Amino acid sequence: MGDYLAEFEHLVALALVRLGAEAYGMAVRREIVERTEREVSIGSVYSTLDRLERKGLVTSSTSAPTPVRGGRAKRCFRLTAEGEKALARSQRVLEQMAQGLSFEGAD
Amino acid sequence: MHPPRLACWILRICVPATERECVEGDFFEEFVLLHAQAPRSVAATWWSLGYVVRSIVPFVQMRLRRIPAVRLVATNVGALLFGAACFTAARSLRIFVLVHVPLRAADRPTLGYVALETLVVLAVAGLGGFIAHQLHAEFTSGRPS
Repeated sequence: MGDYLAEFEHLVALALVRLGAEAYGMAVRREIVERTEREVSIGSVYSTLDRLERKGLVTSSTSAPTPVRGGRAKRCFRLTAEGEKALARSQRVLEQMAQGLSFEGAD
Repeated sequence: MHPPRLACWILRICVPATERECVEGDFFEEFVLLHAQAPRSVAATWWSLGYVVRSIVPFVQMRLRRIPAVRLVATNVGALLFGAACFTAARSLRIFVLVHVPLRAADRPTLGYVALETLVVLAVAGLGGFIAHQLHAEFTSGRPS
């Protein structure tokens, strides 16, 4: 049995898939804030990415510095093959749990 | 146009050295975006302070996680507390057994008494190990911070 992602790890992994090559700290944070309408700190995002990287589910690379960032480099993240499997597994579990349920009362 | 110095200083202190450049770059980029939307407003300044303050705890945790000595001390203190709890529980159970179970008729403990005491200690250690395993799994799994 492989790893399952926790709720916030799941959100971060989905944001990485959505953003593709443009998945860096700020973009991931904004993606989650815009889609979930929930306030998320950049610290939480980096802490989660760090944990996922230690588990071998995410890999990162540093790009060249850009003027828009005050001459600082950008660190881009992407899911590894193991990360994609873990995301698929967690997504499947969520869908299976929600199957046949209705959430009409939820806003 | 630059983010407030206080916010930059807090970030510099909290963020691990390996992440500092990227985090500061993200902060700068987001500050510039927000400032461009409302150039005369102080909202960007307040936003930047909130942004940094909310990130202090996760960054400090991240920094501590990377220091082997901190992990070693935390593990040892945890193991010590856990051992003390197991020892106290085993002693309490031993006293309970001595008072309520009439196995010790002679001055020398009988084989049954020794077996029962061993069983009690093993059961407490096993239960403790199970709880420790559950706690470890809980603390190493991802949670929103």
